[in-house]
Amino acid sequence: MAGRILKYEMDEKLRTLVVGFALAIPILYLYIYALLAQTNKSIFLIGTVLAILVFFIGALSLDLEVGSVGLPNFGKVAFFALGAYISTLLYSVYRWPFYHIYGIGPIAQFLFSSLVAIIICALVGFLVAIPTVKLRADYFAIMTIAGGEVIRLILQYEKRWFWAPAPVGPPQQVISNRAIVEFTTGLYPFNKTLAYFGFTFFEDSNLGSVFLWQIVVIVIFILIAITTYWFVQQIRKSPYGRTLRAIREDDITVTSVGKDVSRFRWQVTTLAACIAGLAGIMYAMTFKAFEAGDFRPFLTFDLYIFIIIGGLGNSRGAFAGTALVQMFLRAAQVQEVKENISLYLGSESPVIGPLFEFLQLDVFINPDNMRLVILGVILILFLLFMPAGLIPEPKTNNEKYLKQLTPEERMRSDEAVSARQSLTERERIGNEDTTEPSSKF
Amino acid sequence: MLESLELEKDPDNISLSAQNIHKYFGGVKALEGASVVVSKNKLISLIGPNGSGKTTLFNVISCWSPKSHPDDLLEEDEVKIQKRFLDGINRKFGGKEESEETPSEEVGSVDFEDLRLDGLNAHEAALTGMMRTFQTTRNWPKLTVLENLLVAPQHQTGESFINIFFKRKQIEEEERINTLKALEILDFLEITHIRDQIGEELSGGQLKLLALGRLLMTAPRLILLDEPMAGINPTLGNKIMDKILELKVDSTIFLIEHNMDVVFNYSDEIFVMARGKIIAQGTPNEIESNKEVIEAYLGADY
Amino acid sequence: MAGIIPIDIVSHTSLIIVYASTLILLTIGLNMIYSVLKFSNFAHAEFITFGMFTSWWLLQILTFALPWDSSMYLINNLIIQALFAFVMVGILGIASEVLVFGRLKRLAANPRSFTVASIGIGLVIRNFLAMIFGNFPKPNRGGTSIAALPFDIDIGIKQTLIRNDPFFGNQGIFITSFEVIIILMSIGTVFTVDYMFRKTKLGIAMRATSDSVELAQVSGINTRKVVFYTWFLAAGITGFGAALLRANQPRFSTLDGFMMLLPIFAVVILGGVGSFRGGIISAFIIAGVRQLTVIIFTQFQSPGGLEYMIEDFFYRITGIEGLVITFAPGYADGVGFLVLIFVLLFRPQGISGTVEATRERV
Repeated sequence: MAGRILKYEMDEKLRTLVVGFALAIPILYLYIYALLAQTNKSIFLIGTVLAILVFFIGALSLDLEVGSVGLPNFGKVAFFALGAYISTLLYSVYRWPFYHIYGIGPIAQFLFSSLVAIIICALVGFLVAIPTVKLRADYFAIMTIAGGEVIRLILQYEKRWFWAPAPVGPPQQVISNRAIVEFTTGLYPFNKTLAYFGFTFFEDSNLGSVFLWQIVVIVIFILIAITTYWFVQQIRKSPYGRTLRAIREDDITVTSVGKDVSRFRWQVTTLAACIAGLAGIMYAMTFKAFEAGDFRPFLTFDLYIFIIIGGLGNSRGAFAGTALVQMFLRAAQVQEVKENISLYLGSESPVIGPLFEFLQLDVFINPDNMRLVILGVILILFLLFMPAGLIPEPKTNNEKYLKQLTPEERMRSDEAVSARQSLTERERIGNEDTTEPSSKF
Repeated sequence: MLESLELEKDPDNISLSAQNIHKYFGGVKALEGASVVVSKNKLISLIGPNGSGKTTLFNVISCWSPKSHPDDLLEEDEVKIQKRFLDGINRKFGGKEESEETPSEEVGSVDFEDLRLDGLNAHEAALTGMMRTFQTTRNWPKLTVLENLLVAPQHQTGESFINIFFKRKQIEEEERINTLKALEILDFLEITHIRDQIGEELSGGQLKLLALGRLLMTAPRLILLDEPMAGINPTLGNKIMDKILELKVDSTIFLIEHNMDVVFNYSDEIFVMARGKIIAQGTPNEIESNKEVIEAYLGADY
Repeated sequence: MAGIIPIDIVSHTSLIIVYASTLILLTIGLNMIYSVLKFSNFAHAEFITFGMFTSWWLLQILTFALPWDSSMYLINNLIIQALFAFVMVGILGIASEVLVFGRLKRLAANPRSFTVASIGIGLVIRNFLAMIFGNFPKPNRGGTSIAALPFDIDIGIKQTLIRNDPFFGNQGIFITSFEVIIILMSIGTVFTVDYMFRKTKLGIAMRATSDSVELAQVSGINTRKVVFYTWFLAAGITGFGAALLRANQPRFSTLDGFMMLLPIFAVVILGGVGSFRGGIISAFIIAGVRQLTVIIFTQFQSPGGLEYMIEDFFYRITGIEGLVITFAPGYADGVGFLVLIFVLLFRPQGISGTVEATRERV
């Protein structure tokens, strides 16, 4: 019933607004609740912002493939993993001689390792794309899951190459990225709190102290995110993006006008692999320590949840979805929230506890799983009732093209439109069967 | 009779020539050595009962599906592989000249003007200046009608990924020219009023016109139309036919149609297909009096 | 030659047979859904997990609700647990059709939505089970046995044929009673379903529905009912197999099903969609390749094996240690995926299937 109301009786904008608020208000409530429970609130806040930015770039990469060309890539996590592993190994584990050049050495090494990581991601993306882009949607999905798992297994088992060599003993599976730490610790002025520079807002409002380097990292991440966003928007707005949308809707017609659909597909897949590699580099910097087991297909599923809730085929939707879901995930990880969940829903609760006992269920309401159940349900509800997402893909219009014409040409065209409209109207009145309902056969 | 007709044709004036095309789906013979020769700037029709292989012929000509080797049906897989293998060895070591085999006669061939189309991909065939439409009306439902037309032009600068960032001026200029051309075509097809609508809002007839317009954006020299009038009312159908006739100045038109009035009124030449073969060809008058055609098409007791 | 560990061929063969039978039993349902309803159900992996947990849950309930002595047969009966899982997972299949897939079909959603929705359902089921039962691997408590069977094969076949031979090493068959049941059940089920699909009225109705829903409706087939039957049977058989699989494992977890996802898809695609007999062959191929990888890679990694030879070779040339890839037996999990990738590249329609893997042509 609720679905029917949502579907038919509401204006689209109003529906988006209602559903948006229905999602955002509880999530914000939960987030603020979690925030207030923290001792150092600023770290929690900054962690959320960084996570949102990292996954936003990942979601952009996925949205470029799923939303723009219609390739359901479920192996995105492999490029996350490659970006994270290669950049970290090249920066933190294997050191080139020029690392020791005073001043620019570390930065040069960092940029170099990131570049290599992105290039390798592009190569792997290209190699994966060439054979797979011809496949049906579900076979493409299986292929990409399989490819991602193969890459994860390689990262997991090739301990000579992808594990971190320890000073003593065998190599370690957990890899730690020291990029942020090395650029900031001990380096003046990054290692000072903002209060040192006279900016005492965070201390005054009892949020804990914020270091300058944290602000710098956030600013750099925001700049990267904006650049990527701009880049993707340029592609979407260009004739290239228009053809991509046409391919998403009907690739046969695109082929029939003489365009190589496979070329567009592999180009986009390669490009998306680069962007995902970039997100992987940022992932490694943000989460610092990681291992192959972190890059299971579930991470890709998370990205899907972001873009489907936010809206397929548009970058702002990817951001909205990422921000909402990340805030929810972060808040639900907090110990106080978890305790409350198991208090009200777990075996300690007065009603449900005895019921579960009667059913012989060793109930252990695990909040980590509970939040994924909630997300999965939201995902399915969105697919069923709001396939366009919170921020639907903007409807195309001709303004962009008509703007290029000279005023006379434009006026002539507009006049022709209205003249033809009135003519057709008259024809319809005279001859009832001029236009027919759309027939699909 | 067929050979004599072909000889009459001037080789410079031939647009499309498809010789001895075979196509099998498993054991089903869709095409058994069909041959058509289409002259330039004419309106040629292809008629025949349902299942006679008309659309399959179009698919083979426009490289949407590969044609079969005549041997494919006759032999078992292993025998065939062995034969191919032995042939290859003979050719390489046995001194057997390649010219001894005349694959074009045996396997069949598709030529568009001076170009051999065999083995091309569908999009490569479309780039040669030969465009086709489909029986079902296909379009891009989320794009406006103007955009539907703007996607179509070939070799756009803005379709290369690098050019998006480095050749903005050129792209803008090209977009402007294409927009003007698209508006002209909308005007020509008398569907200017749907300029701002999106694809999924259109009616069946409008979609047919849109498909025609999309194809005109590429300035094709040969147009293959697969039932341009199927599923639309006669008034609109005649309108579409008039438009198609106007195109004859610049391009050759080869169409499949079931509406006999239209076919016999408008065509310069008619090919009749049955059971995967061309059984007759000629002017409408000749076909009308051809006994074989009437038998094949309408049943023996017509 | 140095570095060869004696290979226990007989034992490996029995492992291949058991693994292949498990795969056959678990892929029948996926194949049915794939061929009748024409979409790949990624939630199938979670149907397996659900079957494991429901059968285990029944054991828990019965153990606590009934006095142990008097109803030994009932409590410990593997077949009863498996039938319970059959019904429960079957209901889950129908629920997923009613709640999600049927609605998506009515919305005329694109294939992408079906894929994402099935993954979403999998996410919900997996985490729901983890939420209720806990995420850690569950030990198989209660000692499931097969008390209801008329013959006593409780011990299974455990026979050492050759012991400490200098060339053969140890050779022996180790098949538990559960594994014998899995093998028998998988053979029985696959032929029953194959027969049902080809000969019975329901099977013909299913095939008609799979060819064209509209045509089937015109011919007087209640396609809605057929779809429900398909879901119930497909999911049910999966649950049945999952219960047997669970009984055979020392412990199980909510991720077990997901770990089977790619092997079962590999089996269905390699065998050909809609072909149950092709599925038997492909299950043996996948199981064989997997076991062969374990054997070969174990050999490579043994002291003096290929891995050390390569490393030594490059060390002599370059003077750098570790210039070699690792032949970890753990790659056996990935080899199934590689088979899948090669199948999709070179023979997408599978051994005997008819479904085209490439995108729709004109």
